[in-house]
Amino acid sequence: MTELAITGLHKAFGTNAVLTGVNLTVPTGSLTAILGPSGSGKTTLLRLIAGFERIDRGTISLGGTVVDAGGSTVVASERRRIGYVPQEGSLFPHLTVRKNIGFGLPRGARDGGRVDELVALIGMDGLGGRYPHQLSGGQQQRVALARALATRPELVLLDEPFSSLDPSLRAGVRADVKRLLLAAGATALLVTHDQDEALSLADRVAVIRCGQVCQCDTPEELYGAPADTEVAGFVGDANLVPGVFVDGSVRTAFGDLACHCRAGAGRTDADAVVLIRPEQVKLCPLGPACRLAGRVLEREYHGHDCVLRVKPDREDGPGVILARIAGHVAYPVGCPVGVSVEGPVLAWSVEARAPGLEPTAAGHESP
Amino acid sequence: MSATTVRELDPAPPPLAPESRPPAPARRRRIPRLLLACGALVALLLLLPLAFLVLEAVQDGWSTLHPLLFRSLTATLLWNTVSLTVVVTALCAVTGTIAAWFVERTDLPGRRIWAVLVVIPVGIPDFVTSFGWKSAFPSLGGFAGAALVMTLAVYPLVYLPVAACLRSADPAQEEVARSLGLGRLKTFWRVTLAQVRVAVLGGCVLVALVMLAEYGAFEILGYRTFTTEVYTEFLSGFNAPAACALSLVLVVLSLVVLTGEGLSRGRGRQSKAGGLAARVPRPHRLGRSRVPVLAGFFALVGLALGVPAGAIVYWILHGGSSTLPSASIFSAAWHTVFYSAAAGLLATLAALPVAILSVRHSARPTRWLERSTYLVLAMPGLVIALALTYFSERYAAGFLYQSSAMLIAAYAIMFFPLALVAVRASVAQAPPGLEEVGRSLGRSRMEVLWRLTMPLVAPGLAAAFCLVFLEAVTELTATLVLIPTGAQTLATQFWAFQSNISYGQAAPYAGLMILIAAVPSYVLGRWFDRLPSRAVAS
Repeated sequence: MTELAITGLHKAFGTNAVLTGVNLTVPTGSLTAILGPSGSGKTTLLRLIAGFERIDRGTISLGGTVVDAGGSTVVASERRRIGYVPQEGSLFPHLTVRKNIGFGLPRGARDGGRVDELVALIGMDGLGGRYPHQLSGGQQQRVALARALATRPELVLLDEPFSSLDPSLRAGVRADVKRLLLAAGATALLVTHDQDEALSLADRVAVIRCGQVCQCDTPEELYGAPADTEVAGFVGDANLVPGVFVDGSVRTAFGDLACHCRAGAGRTDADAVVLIRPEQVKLCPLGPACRLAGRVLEREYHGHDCVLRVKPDREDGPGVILARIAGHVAYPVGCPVGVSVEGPVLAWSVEARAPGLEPTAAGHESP
Repeated sequence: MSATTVRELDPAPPPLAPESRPPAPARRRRIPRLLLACGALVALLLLLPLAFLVLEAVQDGWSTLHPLLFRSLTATLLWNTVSLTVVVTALCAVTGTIAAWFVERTDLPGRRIWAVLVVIPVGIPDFVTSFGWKSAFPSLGGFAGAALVMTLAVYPLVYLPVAACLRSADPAQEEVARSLGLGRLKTFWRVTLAQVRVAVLGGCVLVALVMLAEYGAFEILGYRTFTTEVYTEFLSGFNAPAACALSLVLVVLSLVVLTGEGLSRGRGRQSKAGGLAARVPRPHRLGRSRVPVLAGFFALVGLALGVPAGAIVYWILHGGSSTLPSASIFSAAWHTVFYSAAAGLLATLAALPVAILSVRHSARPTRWLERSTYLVLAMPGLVIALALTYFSERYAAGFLYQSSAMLIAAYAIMFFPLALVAVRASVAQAPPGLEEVGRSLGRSRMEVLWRLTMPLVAPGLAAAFCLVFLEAVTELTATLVLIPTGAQTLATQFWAFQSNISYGQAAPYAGLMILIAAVPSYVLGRWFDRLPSRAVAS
């Protein structure tokens, strides 16, 4: 059974069309992330599902029941049994932790076992009498989640729940939230603009762009086989190099590479765009066996690994290449290196590329 | 051809503080018609007195007004009013700012006690302060006397916003200035003063508006301004065109003050240190200057608080033959409390739709609606009272004139901007996001209103009520014009006695008036103390 199903959803604010035909299904018990750049309509989608706004066209159904079909058929947000965790937690400032968690429960149960259970679950025994302003950001976020889970909702919506947290706290709270959602067995939908967060946390990731879901897959599928070059760049670092299809593989400056093909590819002699993830780029000390020689331009050291910008020596070859290598391998800036690629790679025929993405050599930005 | 390297299209922004995200949903909401209608009605009623005044002026015609406006009396009054306003405003700016800096930023002994004592004079009505000085120094008067007394009576209006600003300003800015090689004095001049500039300006506007509207204090000190003259015209058989002409000048002067403040604010913004992280600055050490500074504070509090309070106590104790205040003090107290409470209630209720519109449905029309209500600030209480009187006499055959309803309405109009400030702050305490969360937890609209919105908003509404109540209790000028026949408030009875130089009989009325006003002041103080922590929490 499908828990949440959205078909052909349209929403505009005045003349500003925000969502233009969203299709999305979220299976029971899964944690799905909606990933998109700022202003792509992620939060609007969440608010529509929660029932804080009305959709213009399309349908939203929950467990087989239509809750909003754009006309008069609308189930009020308090009847949808959807838990909502806003970006800043939005704890009720005049209520203690316990009363916040118990807010949605029936009158008799507001101070009962369910509240104890949740206070224990979020590891805040003894802090139940505190007020929100006496809590840290991470604690507030956990209370907000417990409050949403208290009524055992069918679905929990989380709106960028970690973006207001300190980076050092984020990983910990993320793990906590995942554990809590698993423990509650809840279906959850999470909105984020952080690809790292989406890939590491979710069972499925839906990439939203220009008001539509352009791909919804498991994190592995999304990273390994993005629908187009833009998605490829959005979910991680990407080298996009030119190539030509030759008999089921693709010929590039790095040699012929085994390839998976996306839409319309495979015709021999057709021009291709090839996706090479930085971790597929291998460097070696320069020697006669090297097919392509280059020079290290920049080096960004992260401890566990190291990202290098390498400029191939060949004038007609690809431009600057990003390579991610183990942190302990030392190639200083200016060092000559041999460059090779470990396949298989993903390739699109040039015509099938997503519009609006002009190749730029300086696409690599330091975070 | 070149390779393309792409990382995140949307690099993660630095973590945002909770407050820094603009309340995006506001622009999306449709404005409820009923709310908009209520707000518009309130704005319309508030602007009625101004409309009456303009109507009267138009009916009198330029040929009537011209000789009334361009006579030597006008020039004298203009000079008296403007020169005193400028001098007192400047004195208040200097006194208030310096006092606030010493209390907030130095190791002045007894800072906490001074912080209270320095503010108390704002709770004593100006005409009572003036009465205290006049009864102690009967020869006091004229420009110098008025300047001295009014500065002592109203400097807290500058002190309060500046002190609040210094408390929340980022002390790191001063440290940065020092690290860039600026000395202590230059730092104060270029950084600290820049931080509090808007607060000083805001306080100065309040002072100037009070100066333009004040009647009682100037009457006691025998100093003529536009307001005293308008009242004299009213007493001597209500010369409508003359009163109208003088009132117009007053309104124009007030408008000049209000727009001048808006223009001089400039485009700069002062960012405040973020919420909980705000560090308490290390106080400057006074060292040897401690003794003269302390002496200054003793002098300030002695003059501003000691003289009027001492005079009231003296006259109560040595009040001459009449040993006990007559029973009329209870009836006067009852009337004062009744009118003021009713006005507090009315103003708070009227402020609600305007506040909700401006906070939750901020758009061009609602912003204009809110701004238009601030025009009331340009109308001195006396002008509002006269406009209402004039209207009821001319168009309503005296209907409502000198009725309780009209007095209460006049109070509510006069003090509406105060109520709006407090109600606005309280509505902002309950952002719509909280209600949405409440609804999504399965609670009905009514239940969310009762369990979430009301508890969050109620303290602010109480504060709005107290603010209006406090002002209405100590109001004299409009009350003198509109008081229902046969009724007396503490202020008007005090006024009647002191006009007869029956200081002993007048003093208990002043004392009781200040006592009644002290209760809401205390409540207000508590509210403002609680405000920051709640604001951060939401």
